[in-house]
Amino acid sequence: MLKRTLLFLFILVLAAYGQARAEEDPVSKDLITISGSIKDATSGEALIGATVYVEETKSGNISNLYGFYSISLPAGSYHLVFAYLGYDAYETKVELSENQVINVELKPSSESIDEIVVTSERKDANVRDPQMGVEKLKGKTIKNVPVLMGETDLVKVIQLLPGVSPTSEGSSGFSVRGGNPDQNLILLDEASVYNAGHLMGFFSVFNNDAIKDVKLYKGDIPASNGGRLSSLLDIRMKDGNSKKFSGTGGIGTISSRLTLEGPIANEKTSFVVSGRRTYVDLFLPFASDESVRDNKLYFYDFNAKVNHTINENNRIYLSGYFGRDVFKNDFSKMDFGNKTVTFRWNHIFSPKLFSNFTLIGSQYDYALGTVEGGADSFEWESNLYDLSAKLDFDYYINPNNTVEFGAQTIFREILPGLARGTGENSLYNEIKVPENRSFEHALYAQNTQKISDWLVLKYGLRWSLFQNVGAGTQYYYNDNYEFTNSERYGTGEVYNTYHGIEPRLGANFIINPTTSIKASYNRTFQYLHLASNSTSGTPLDVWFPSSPNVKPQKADQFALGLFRNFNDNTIETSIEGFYKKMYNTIDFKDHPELLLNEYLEGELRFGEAEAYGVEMMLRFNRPKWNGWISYTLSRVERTVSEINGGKPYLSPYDHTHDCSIVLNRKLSNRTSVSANWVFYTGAPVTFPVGRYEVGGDIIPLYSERNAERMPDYHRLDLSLILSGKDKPNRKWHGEWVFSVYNAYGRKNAWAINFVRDDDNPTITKAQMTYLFSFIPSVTYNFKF
Amino acid sequence: MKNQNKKYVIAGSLMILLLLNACTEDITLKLNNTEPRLVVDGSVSTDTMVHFVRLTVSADYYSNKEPQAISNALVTIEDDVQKIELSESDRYPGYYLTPNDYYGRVGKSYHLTIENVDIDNDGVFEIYEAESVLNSVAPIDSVRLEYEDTWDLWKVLLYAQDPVETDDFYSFSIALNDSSLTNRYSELGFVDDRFFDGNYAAGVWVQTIDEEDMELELKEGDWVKLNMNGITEEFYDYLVAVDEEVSFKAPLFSGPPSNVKGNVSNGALGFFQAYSYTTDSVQFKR
Repeated sequence: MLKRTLLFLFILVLAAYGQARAEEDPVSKDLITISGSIKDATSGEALIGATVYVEETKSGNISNLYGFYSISLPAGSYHLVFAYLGYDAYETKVELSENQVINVELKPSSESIDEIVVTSERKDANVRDPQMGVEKLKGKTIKNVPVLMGETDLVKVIQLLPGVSPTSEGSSGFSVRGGNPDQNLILLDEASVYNAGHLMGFFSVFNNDAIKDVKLYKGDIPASNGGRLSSLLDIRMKDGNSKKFSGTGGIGTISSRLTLEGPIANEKTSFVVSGRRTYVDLFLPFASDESVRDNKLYFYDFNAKVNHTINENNRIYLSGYFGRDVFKNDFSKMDFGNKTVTFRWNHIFSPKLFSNFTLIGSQYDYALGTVEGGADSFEWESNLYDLSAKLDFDYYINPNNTVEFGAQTIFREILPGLARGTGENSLYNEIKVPENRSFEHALYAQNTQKISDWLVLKYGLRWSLFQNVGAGTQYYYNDNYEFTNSERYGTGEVYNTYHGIEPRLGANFIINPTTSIKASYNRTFQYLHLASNSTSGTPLDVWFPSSPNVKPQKADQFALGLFRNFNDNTIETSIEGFYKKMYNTIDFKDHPELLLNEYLEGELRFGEAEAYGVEMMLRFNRPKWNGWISYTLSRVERTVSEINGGKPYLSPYDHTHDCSIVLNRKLSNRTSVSANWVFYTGAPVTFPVGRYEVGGDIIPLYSERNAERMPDYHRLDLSLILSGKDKPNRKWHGEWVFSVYNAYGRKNAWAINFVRDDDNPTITKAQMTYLFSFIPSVTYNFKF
Repeated sequence: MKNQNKKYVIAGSLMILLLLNACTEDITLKLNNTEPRLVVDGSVSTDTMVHFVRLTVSADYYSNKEPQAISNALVTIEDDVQKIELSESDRYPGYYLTPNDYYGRVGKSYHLTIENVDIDNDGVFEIYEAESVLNSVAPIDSVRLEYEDTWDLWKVLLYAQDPVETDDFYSFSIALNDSSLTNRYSELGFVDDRFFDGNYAAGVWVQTIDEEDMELELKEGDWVKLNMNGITEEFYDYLVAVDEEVSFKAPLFSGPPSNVKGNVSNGALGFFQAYSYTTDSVQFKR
């Protein structure tokens, strides 16, 4: 099987190449390649997805994730246009007789569109790209959307896009096209982020000042990535300003931030460091209650990146993220956080062949326990890390074929839980849920082929291989999920293997320059799952790999969409339908024990899920007005034979209607206002149909799982942005952001509980808890 | 330990919710109804006394009155040695009582049978059954009270030896001057010894007296009595589930609500348990 797949991948690359050769054969030996990089003229940041357009041939290409582009043409004289939205286009004339390197720097346009908006790189990109179900955001564009407590947060903006919804109010967890939150692959500079939430998930770990580019793939995931069923959130950190030393920062309601970037020695090396810390606890020493004064409650983020251009053909990058939440009182303590490190080496083999070699490490861990050393004091920790190597190639065969291929291997070790007593006469034995180790390997190849002016195909294949490897102890269960025996495996011993072939296909039929129809089919496998049965998740949730008891999750997704632009591409509309079938999905038995449980796999129940829906998007980018309206109509059902009597039940992430309106109005050069309004159908929940009394308690009686719904959710947020005057000889530029979350104070139910009345215990009633009503905040941002 | 851990997480979360200014209010929700089902609530312990089995039916969620009692049932409890028939109380309909010299023995299995009831009103009597083993419990060496100033409450600490080589499950109730402070299952403390199997419990926090919450004030010389019960794993799981279903639920730390799984056959709700019993008291000194 392995051999056959490898062969297939090899043939695919070869075929693309061969076909490309055949097509151009009469002239191929005469093709000459122009290549180079496209950068921002003020900061030197590589521009991702900028376009190169050849007027004479009406063909073009886009820059890759590192700003590299390549285009091959017969000898001759050409006009090249380099463009990127929000930048002045650069036009140049070339006489082509031999391979040329043209490095281009684009200036941000003075008539800059203050996009708060999801942008396309090229005005008509949404019509022309064969990629569908992708949403792009730029770091600087996220900050104008009003958010909770003024904490600019890319995840909160993503939740306003069609097909994406938050898992619960204020949560940084999200569901894509009805998928579970653990089915999203979140990458920060290609490193997996295993828990993207701070402060119980109310804020995401991504400090916007350090972010350059964000892409969310909602289904049509490129063959270069895999391992999760529903989506890929690809976040790229800034490389650092290579032109001059500069800084950005802000003082907000709950946190402050500072980012510094600049060249080191010369333009070849640059760095960026970025930090953020909350300061709620800085006021605690002033508290009147003595026991509160020693409390700790804060989080911080630290991002750092340095890159060095060795020569024309070699550039290296080193980046890292370190973040932690700390909570402590004189009773208990808890801390948790992510660490990631990424080393990259871009190497240009030839003007047509670009490569990137990446080494990645990522870690998530938490610890909690009691503070004092009593008999029942304890410490409890959990730790997950991965080490990964990745090799990616972009091969620009000819103007009509671009092949991406590569390989990745990940080693992952998880310590699900270790608890031990800390006191002198400790009661507790050491309890250790045995570590598990696994490998995830993948090979992929994908070709984007322009068949004709009206048809572009994207076809690729990913082959993924998963291996459970020793040293480790594997538990086995019978058909009733009862533990039967355990097996110990030695170091390096592979004791279980899964693999899968993942086709990734897409087609774009271009009907006319402003209209296209796209279709895609995608298969994805998931070998790592999250043990959480709450809808919002906690920092204590533990990831667990597939194993002899846990088959990989699998999804097939079909999508079809119509894309149409109006008014010189300033208004983009799209309608996309999707159908997603998921196999071996995971749910949990009633009242499961998910933490510190060595028999965790016995708590799992397996089934299928089905999601389908229609997403509509209207996006406008006018000089004074911009924003979008998105609407999604969808349904998600799960079927698990041991849950709900085997009958299908709605996923907790099913929202029939989901609508977001995001508007930004520029009032003057220094003033703008923004608003967003969100509406979605309340999440499915289980309410009681009766009650009964046992042992003095009134216990609710339920019938079907998720047969009822929470009340509908809606909310309006507003913000006003006042920029300081720009003076020619002043570097400092300041800006005030006043915002209000939930402006009309809607009491959105976060939880509904069924409780006994305090005064009359025979009365039971429904009680609603809501979190945020009308939260104003002020933030001062600056840059220099 | 599981429940203590959960408490830390919840305490942490609640602290944050407090910061985020969460509010709670009563709401009116239309709820569906369902057919009534038999509810069994009974126990046998090693204590010599009148034991009871209470029979009621489930009701609509908003019924808001005492549950309807099921009278005139034939209720028997059988172990390997004897089979006794319980007699319904004259004063409390639905309560079926054993003689006052009745007690359970460690290691025996107790089988409950309920006959002569027609809950679904189809004219045919139904039979319901439940069974529970009576597990042993280790003796308490001593009990101590300790003040916890972060949460302003008194911790009741246990000193006892957990037996080696057995999986033991305990529930804990307390009484103040012989009046019980734990009248509901959800107020019991419960632990499973998998974290301390075979160890000596030298001052383990197993119960709590929160003066403000319980609307009482501990006075010099008051007697606090701790009861430690040896329960079955099945009943331990039942207590865990009851605790989950009657506690505050929120998206952060709660799974979907689900029915508490009892041990009575034929679709009846509730639990019939057998447990062993040991007790010790401590006099309160400030």
